[in-house]
Amino acid sequence: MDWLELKPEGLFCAPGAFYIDPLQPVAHAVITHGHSDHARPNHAHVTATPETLAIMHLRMGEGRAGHTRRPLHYGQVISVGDVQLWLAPAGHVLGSAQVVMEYRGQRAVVSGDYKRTPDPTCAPFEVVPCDLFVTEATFGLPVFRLPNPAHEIGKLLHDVRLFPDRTHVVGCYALGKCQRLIALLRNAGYHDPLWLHGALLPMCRLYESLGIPLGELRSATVAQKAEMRGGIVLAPPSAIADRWARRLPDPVVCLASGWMHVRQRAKARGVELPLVISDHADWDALLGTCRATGAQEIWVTHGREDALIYAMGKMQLHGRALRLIGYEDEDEDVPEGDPA
Amino acid sequence: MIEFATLLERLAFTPSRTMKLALLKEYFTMAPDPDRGYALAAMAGSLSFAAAKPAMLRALAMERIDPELFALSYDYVGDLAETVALIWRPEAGQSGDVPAPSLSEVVHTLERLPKAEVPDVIRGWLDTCDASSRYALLKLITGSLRVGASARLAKTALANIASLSPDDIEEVWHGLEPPYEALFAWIEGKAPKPDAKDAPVFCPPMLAQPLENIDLTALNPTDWRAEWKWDGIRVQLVSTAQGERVYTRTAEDIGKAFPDILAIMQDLGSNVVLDGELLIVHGTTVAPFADLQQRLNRKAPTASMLRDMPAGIRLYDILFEDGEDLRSLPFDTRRQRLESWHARLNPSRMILSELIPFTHFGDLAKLRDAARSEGIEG
Repeated sequence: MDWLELKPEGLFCAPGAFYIDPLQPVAHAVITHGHSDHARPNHAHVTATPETLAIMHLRMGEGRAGHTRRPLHYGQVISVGDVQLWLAPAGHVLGSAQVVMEYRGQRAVVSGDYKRTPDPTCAPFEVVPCDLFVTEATFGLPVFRLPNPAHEIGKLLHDVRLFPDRTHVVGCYALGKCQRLIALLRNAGYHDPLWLHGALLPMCRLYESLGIPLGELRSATVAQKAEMRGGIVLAPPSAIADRWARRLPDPVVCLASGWMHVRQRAKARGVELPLVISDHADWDALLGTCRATGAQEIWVTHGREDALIYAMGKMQLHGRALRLIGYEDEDEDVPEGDPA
Repeated sequence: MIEFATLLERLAFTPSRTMKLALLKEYFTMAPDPDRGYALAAMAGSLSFAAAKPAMLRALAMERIDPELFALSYDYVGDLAETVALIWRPEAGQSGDVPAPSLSEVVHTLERLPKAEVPDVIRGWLDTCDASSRYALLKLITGSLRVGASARLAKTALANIASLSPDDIEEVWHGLEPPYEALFAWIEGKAPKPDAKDAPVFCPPMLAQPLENIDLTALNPTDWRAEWKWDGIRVQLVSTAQGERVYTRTAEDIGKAFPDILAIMQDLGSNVVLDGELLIVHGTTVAPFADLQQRLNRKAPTASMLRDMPAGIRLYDILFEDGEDLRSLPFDTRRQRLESWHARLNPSRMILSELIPFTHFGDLAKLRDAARSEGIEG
């Protein structure tokens, strides 16, 4: 598909003259979701879902989240140049979207990051039939067949009951993972107050203002040590092995991430209770989604693309690795986006 | 299998002893017989199978996955059993319909499974297990299961359940066999303490304590006896009608590494429990600890090691003689019993630890300071 090009700034839709999740400031950026590697500051004009725009505004502050902004609801079609453009839910985090583009009878879908597992904090992924599907491949190896998140939450709650005098501190990314964990805990019947690291609270407040109830949240930073004993504390992954966590009463270090699926990764992070919960598609979901779109051409933006492209070949699909540098998995130790 | 696998996983990631104890306690309380007994055996290192070799696991995996995808995955994960456990895709309709095998089912099956049937049985198990149980299963059948808890820790957890001391467990331990149902029944108050009968079980000895920060002037020298501490390891020799054992002070059976000592005990044919120091001795000269270390490092010694590094015992104490429990007798009485036992049987390569006469504790300090060069620890 020659009207979607790879430029140094990122993926460029030539007939619409816009970039998707560009890595550098551009005139017009269409943003799939609010994670800092996809939503970067200082674009002249930004098109994204209202939720993603709100998230960008919270993280970047006034002015940096696009000089002009165009909120686009899921399914709302607009013309940009010669291109028909709309957004479809990606199921990754609140507001996350696939970018759907139609030009001269061809349809391309850029998924951004996505997952297929139900998530109480965002709209479920929608399969959009297309000719070209651009996918991520964070968990692009057949060993990544991730367990049901409810099972992992059950593990955490069992541990909390077994060690009532200890404090479980769960590392989770500020945007998406944190709120999903809270919602999963609430769904599992845990209604005690949750203690949050200061870097996590503003995003939770935003989620609540956007209609995602999270129950009682309290700041762990100002809390008395004794109050948190036996409770669950959520903190950014960078804080759980840090001095910050050591001030908690008898902490049990947990980390919610798809990488926890592999023992060596969990061990290397010094995690005592690994929770395999990811906001990315696992191997089965990647293959299943690529197949379901009916696309004959699959581009892989980032991740472990070798195995995925090999598997595409076996399915008679044409796969291409874009190897976009700068897209990271948010569970890796990427510095936290400034939560403002 | 699932409960056992969950325990293994949790233990593997938990550095804290207190938490390991709590996890073990919970498992031993919740898991049924005989599963928990086999789990205990795994911790005691007595549950090991060599039913499958790595090549067989790889061959099984290849039935379900493309070799190129397997290679990329193995490269990433770095451990064969874990790669197979994670990559295994149960055949449609299998998962959930048939329950995963229990640990005891696995153990009982492997004990009598003809080699030719091993792949089929393992394939079936892999299909019914979740990833974590598959990992535990594959480690178990390849003889490479590592449990993040020692036998001693497991015994401590059991003792905690019944408010006993771990030494109470040690006293019966070596008379028991997996799956230890009599032990669990006793722990749970459903049966009396298992009777070791004539089994050569371990009797927790009194351990040496440093006399630091103690006001010696408050002690009467006539109430105390002095002996040398030798640079070997403290052992307990147990000999009954059912056999001979050499135990370390933590109840580890090291007899296989010291067949020379076992043979001497067998020749004596005396029903006795002795406390002493295990040393490498040439004539009357005690060899450096490094020589003993070499023998300790091997499961079974070579002929040349037996010749060049012969083991011997310095006897400290006698705890049982002909079924009579001497432990409640005063030390001097036991010492007399030890001396007369030794004089009567004159066992080869066992000599009495010398009692050092002294009037003041100061005499001992001087002796100790002078002794460092003689291979005596102090």
